[in-house]
Amino acid sequence: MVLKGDEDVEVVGTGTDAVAYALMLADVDVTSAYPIRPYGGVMQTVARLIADGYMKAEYIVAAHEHDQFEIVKHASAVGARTFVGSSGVGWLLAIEAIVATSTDRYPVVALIGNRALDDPGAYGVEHNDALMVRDVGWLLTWVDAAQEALDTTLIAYRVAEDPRIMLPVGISMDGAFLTHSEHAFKIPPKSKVQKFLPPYDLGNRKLHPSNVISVAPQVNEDWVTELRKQMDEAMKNARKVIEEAYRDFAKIFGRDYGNPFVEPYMVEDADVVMIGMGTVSKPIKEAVRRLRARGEKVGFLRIRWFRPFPTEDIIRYLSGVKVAAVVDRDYSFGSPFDGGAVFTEIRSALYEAEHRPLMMNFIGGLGGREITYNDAINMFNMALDAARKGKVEQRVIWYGVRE
Amino acid sequence: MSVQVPGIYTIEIIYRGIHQRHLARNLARGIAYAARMAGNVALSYQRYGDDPERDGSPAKYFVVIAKGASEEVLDAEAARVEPDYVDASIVLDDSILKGVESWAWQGIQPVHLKLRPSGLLIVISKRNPDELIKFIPSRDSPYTLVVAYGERSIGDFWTFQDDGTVERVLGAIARVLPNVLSLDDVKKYLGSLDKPSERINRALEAYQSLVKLREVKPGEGLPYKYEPPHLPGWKDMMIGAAIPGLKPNQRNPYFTGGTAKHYRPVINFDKCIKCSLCWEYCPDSVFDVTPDGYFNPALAYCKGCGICAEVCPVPDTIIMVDEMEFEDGYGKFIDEYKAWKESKEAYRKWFESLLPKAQIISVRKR
Repeated sequence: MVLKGDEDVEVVGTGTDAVAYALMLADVDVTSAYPIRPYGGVMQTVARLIADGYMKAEYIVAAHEHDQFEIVKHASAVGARTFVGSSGVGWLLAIEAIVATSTDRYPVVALIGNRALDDPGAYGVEHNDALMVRDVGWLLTWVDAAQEALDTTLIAYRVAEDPRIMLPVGISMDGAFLTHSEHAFKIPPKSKVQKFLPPYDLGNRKLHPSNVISVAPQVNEDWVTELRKQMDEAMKNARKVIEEAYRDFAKIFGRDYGNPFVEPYMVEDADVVMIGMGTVSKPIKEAVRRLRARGEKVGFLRIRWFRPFPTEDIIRYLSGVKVAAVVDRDYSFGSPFDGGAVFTEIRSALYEAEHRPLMMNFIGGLGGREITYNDAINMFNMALDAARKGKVEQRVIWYGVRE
Repeated sequence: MSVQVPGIYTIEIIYRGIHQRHLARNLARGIAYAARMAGNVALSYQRYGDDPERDGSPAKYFVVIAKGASEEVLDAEAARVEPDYVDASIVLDDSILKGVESWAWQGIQPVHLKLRPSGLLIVISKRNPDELIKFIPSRDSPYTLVVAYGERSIGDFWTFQDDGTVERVLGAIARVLPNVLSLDDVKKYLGSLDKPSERINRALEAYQSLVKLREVKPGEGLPYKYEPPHLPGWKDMMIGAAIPGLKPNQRNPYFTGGTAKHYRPVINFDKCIKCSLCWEYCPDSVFDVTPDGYFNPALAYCKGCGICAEVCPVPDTIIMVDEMEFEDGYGKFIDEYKAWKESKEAYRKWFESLLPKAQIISVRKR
C-alpha cells in the first residue's frame, strides 16, 4: 500500500477498513478498543496502521465497553479527537457513558457495527442497537458502501466538532454485509482532508490546567430544562451544518452525494417507493431496476441521516406517492401501529404532508437474515397491489417469518 | 402560585441534614398520622433538592393537612417541590436561625421565608425568644415566635436516637396550633406507638410548659433582605453544563454554605505558631493566609467540621464554639484576624470568655 502523495489511492477492503483509513486521515488522537463482532475489524486495521507508522494515536485497550466510551469522552474533554465503536449489546453496555457524551457535548465519533441484541446471541445485522440511542442527542447516520463509510467518517468529525453542534455522531454500518465484505474504495490524500477538516477546537470548554472549568456538575431541577434546550438547538442546527459539510466535501474531494440526508433512487415519477437504511439498498435498487424494466413505476429512498431526521425530504419525496413501503431492519415492540422504528418516524413526518401516501411496513432481515432482490421484488409486488386497490390490507408484514 | 384553600394547613420542618434527617421525617410522618387518625387528610414530603443532606446542611420537610376534606384537595400539593407558604415553621435546631442554605443552593433564605403573615415560628432552643430574635431577619408582616424548650437533637449521625423530640414538638403543636392538631389527636397517635405512656408524658410536659411566646412586629430583627439567585437562561449557559472555574485563591461568592455549621473555629492568634496545618487540612479551603503568615478563617465558607481544631498542635489555639454565641450571620461573619489586629487585648478577653464554652475536639491535647 502506498499512501503518500497527493493522489487518491484505490484499495480493496472491508467497510471497517475504510473507516480505519478515515481515522488515519482525520488524525485521530485517542481511540479505545474492546473487541466485539462486527465492529472489531476497524480496531484491527487501526492497530496495523499505527504499527506500520501510518498513524499516530493513543490506542487504549479498555476493560469493557463502558470504559471504552468513558475513555474517549474524557479524552475529548481535554481536546483530543477521538474514535470509539462497538456493536449490539456491547454498545448498550456503554449506554451510561454514551448518554453522558452527548449531554456533556463532546464530539466523539463512533462506529456502530449493527448487530442483533442478545438474547439470543447472534452476530447478524439488526438496527435496534443504534436506534436505542435515538432520543439522547446523538447524531445517527447509516452508510451503505465502503467509500461512503470513509467519506462519512470525515464528514462526521467536521459536523460533530462544529461549534454550532458539539454533539457525538454514530455511524451505523450493517454487520457482515458491509463490515466484513470487501470492496474497492479510494483513499484520498491527507492534503485534501486538511482542507476539509479543521483541527478540533473545544474553545473555552477545553479541560486544561490553564483553563479552569468544571465539567459534568450536578445541577438539579433548576438547570436541566435549559441544558436540554441547548442540545435541541444544536441538533436542529445540524441540518444546516451537515449540508455545508457535504457541499464542501464535494468541492474538495470531487464526490458529490447530492442530498446529504436521503438518497432518492428513481423516485421522481414513482407510484410506489420503498424506504430503508443501510445495505438493504443494494437488493432493493436491483429490484427497482428490474421492475422499471417491466414498466412498473417504483423507486427507493435511502435514509442516510436518521438524527436529525430528514422530515422535509420525507415529505418532499413521499407526498403524493401512492404507497410508501418502509423496510425496517429493526422492530419497535408495542409502537403505535406495531411496526418498525423507521416506519413510525416516517408516518409521523408524513402527518404534515399535503397528500399522504398509503403506508406499508416490512419487517425483514432481522438478526442478519438476507434480503435478496427477489425478496424486494415480492415486497414491491405487494405494495403495487395495494396501490392498484387503493388500500392496504395488512399494514405491517413480517416478511419471511416462518409460521 | 397556588391559591390558599381554607381548611388546608401547611407545616414546615427545618432541620439539619444527616444530623436530624430521621428526626424530621418521623416528625413529619407523625403529624400526618396524627391528623389522619383525627379524621383529616394529610401528606408529607421532603424538599427534594435537599436530599443529599450533607454536612448538616439546613434542609426541609413539609406536612400538608386538610381539615374535614377529601384526599382530592391534597392533589394540588402532592407533586410539588415546596409549598408557596406555610402556616408554621418548626426549626429543630436554633442555630439554623442563621439562615437556610440548602445543598441545592437557593441563596441564604431567612428561616421564615415561607411563613405566611401572622404564622408561627416554632424553635427548639434553650434560649428566650428575646435572645433568639437577634438572629432572625426582620420582615414586613408580623409573626409569633414560639420557643419549645429543649436541646437540639443530633442523634441522627449514624442512627435515629429516639430522644423524645418528636413527642415534645407534637405537644408544642397541640398547644399553639390546636386547630390543626389537638392534644387529644396527639395523644391518640402517640398511644398507638410503642411505649405509649412515656411518649404521651413527654408531649404533655411540652404542652404544659410551653409559655415562651413572643409576638414579633414588622421590622423587628436583623436587617436582611433575601435575594433569590439569578438563574441563567439557556443561551447564557456554557454548553454541556460546563461551569467557569475559580482561579486559585478565589471563592465563589454565590455558594457559601457557612450556615451549615453548629460550631465555628475561633483562633487564638497569640498562640498560633503558623504551622499551616489548619490551612492544609481544611476540606473547604476556608483559611486565608494573612500577609504576616497567620491563617484567618473565612467563616461564610466554614462548615464547622472541626478538623482545624483537631489538627492544631497547640492546645486551646483553635477552639470550636457554638454558633449561637455569635450574633452575626446571614452571609456576614466577623473577621477574627481583623478583630485581633485592631485590639489584641480585647480579642484576648473575648477569646478567654469563649474558652469555657468551647466544644472540645481533642481531649488528648488538653
